[in-house]
Amino acid sequence: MIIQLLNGLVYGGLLVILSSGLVLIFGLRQVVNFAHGAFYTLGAYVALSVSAFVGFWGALAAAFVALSVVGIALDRFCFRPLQNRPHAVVLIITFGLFLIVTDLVQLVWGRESYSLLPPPDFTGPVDVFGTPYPVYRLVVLALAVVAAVALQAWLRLTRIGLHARAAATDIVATGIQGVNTDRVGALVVGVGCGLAGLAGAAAAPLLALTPSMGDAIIIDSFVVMVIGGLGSFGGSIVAAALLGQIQAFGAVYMPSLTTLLPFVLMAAVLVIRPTGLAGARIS
Amino acid sequence: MVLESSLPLPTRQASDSSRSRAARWLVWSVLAVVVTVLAPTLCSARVIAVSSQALMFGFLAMGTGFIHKHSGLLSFGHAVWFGLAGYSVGILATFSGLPIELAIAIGLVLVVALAALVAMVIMRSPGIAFSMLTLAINVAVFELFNRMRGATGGADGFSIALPETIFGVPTTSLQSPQTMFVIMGITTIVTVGALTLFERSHLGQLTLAIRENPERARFIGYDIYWPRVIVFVISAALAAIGGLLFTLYTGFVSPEVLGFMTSGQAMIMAMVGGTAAAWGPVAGALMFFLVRDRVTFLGDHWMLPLGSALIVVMAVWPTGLVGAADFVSRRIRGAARRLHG
Amino acid sequence: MTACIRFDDVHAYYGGAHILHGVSFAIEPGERVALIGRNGVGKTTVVNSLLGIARIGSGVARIAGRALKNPRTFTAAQLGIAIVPQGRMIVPNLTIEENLILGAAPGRKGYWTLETILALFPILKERARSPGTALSGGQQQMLALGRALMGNPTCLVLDEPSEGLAPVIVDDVADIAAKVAAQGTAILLIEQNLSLVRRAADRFGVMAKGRIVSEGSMAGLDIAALHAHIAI
Repeated sequence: MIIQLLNGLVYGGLLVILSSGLVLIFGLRQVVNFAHGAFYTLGAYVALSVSAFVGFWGALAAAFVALSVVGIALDRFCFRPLQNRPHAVVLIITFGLFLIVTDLVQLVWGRESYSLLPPPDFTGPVDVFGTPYPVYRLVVLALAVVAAVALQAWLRLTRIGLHARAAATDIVATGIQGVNTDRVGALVVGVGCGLAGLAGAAAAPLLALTPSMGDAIIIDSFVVMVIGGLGSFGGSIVAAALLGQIQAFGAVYMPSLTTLLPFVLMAAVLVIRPTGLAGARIS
Repeated sequence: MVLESSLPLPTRQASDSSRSRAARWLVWSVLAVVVTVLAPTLCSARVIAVSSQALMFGFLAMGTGFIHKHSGLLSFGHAVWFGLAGYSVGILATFSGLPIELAIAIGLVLVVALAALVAMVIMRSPGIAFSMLTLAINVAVFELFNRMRGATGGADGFSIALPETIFGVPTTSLQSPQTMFVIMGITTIVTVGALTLFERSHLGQLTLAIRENPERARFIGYDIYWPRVIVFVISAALAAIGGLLFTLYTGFVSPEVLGFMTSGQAMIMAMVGGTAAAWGPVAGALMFFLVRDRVTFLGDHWMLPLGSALIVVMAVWPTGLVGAADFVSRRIRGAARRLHG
Repeated sequence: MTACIRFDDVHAYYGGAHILHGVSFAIEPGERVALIGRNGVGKTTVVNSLLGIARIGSGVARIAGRALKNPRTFTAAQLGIAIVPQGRMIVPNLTIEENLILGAAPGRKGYWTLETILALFPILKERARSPGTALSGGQQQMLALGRALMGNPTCLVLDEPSEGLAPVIVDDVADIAAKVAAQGTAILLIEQNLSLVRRAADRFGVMAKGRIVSEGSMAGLDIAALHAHIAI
């Protein structure tokens, strides 16, 4: 019981990191980044490749930085020049990017699966209320909490965070005030994609690395984003926690239906609240 | 904030009379029929086999293109309807003992009814969520069939027990590429015509108006929910027809056809072909399959060139082949007008 | 001295629509200039060509002597031109205080700080933590003015500040414009309300059909004659 609860929290934590990135990008550019799952995968592989040289924590940072750079380029060469194009065009382009990145991962690392070991101090089990539990999973959970808190602190307490929040609401009004919205855009999309890389690297020791490792979790984070109300951090955190528990308990009690459960949850939320849990901002 | 997304529609010249338009339609349809009938004797067997498959997936692309055109939405999940049609007809034909004709009818009705239920849920949410929702549904349905052990064979799929004749046509000739190509060609031509007529109907025009400006349509007094549901159901039905024909042709169905990559590819076919006219996705599908047949040397690494091509098309020429044809025909007409003084 | 804003034969477009047909004017430091004219003559397009929202096809627009080439929305503000846009553009999910901080230009120090602005607008001080949209139209205009001043601009551009405001609040706007001008800040006032124009500008240009058709100084001007010029 406690194990499922914790597993649900860990998976929910990964979903929080991933969907926060999606929400950040969506807030600023009104685009759902369909390449986000591929960025998660890429983050895991980057961590795999550099961990031998810089250790696990360095690899975690490297994945964040590498994907941030990808995000900055994505904003500079795709989102910004296509700002006035229909969103469908940009959405399809991110789907094209998903295909490209997935294939590049296959080209560089091949199709065989790899595994990344957790950092040496966090390999064993730990005793949680009398039940042994892999300590690294708790590290992932802590990492998710830290990432979410840091993101909120950045957005709420710093000037650039203020600029980012303003630009997400009204990018023209923000620009007129002298805020360099191009730079804010690059930074926000960079951090958003960096978070995908971070999530991938953090998840790497939990499961096998394969070129399609991002496919399942990105679907769940899309579901989280929709249930949460698309542009809401709070909504997506609640939705991620909910979905994490559903997946964890479903895996034990209804294994054949786990893949349908997120959709059932989503359908239920949409029937009751078509704009999601925190959906006041849409419509 | 603009939530509704849509691609620009090339505006067609409204100057030509409806009679000359009807005449032009007639010419094009006759030409298309002639090409369809002659192609099996003119082209290599391989091209014909690839093309008939392309036309089956062309229906899936038509469904994806139709919903994009009439509601501005991008579906990443229409393979669900393509695949479910195959499964429901396959299951009914193999296990129920119903005559195949009845199994086909019931199967299609079931799929369309399910599509209506799903549409009634997801059309409630804002347009932006649509792509994510369709993708999520697709993955869920895929996993369901992929894991379902027993009669449907899970990931391996299963062979469908088909009778000697279907609607009076011998099953063996139905499963030969030459015959199927002609059948596919004719059904495609009829469907493209029907979709073009739909576009000119009151409902078709209303859905376009809703796509352009839902707030205004609602303000004028139109209900904007049900027309969008109907558009979704029609688009799912198109995909289901394709799935049905594909299943009859191969006599086999597996989860692969309802995977999300199938949906993604259909979306690519529709976009490359262009969604402004009903023939666009069909042209996109033919191009996709014929090109893919030539680039087998890529092996597993087809996603990189495909993704790159998609990005280039969307960034440089987002109206696809339809937009290109419009551009060329306008050029030719302009030149002709200048020649005549 | 270089002009704060200088237009030389500017032709501006929205897509293919040609809106400004050769507009020329200059605002020198500390000057108070009004641009008047009916709706749709291109007054706001003058602002939008500074913001890069309208495209400058030919001619040159300069801010502080720098010619604008493909300006972004933030270019003008970074060159010292604060714009109070039509409709105020208060960012709704930020508090009043955050809206003000948004207008700050860290590199430019001057008389205006959060303290001096809150002292000038007591209502904003009272409600500093409420969302910007919790204010009435007149209070939002004050917030937009305060936000623009936060950057200590060399020139303040006011686009239809009186729009939708009660006469008594228009008087407040005039008072504030006078205080701003007293700091040596130039003002470009785009207005149809002539009583505000008379109180807040020294010089005016009248626009019609994308051109400035007449110019003059406020001193000794017959307002009735001006009214006839722009009345419908």
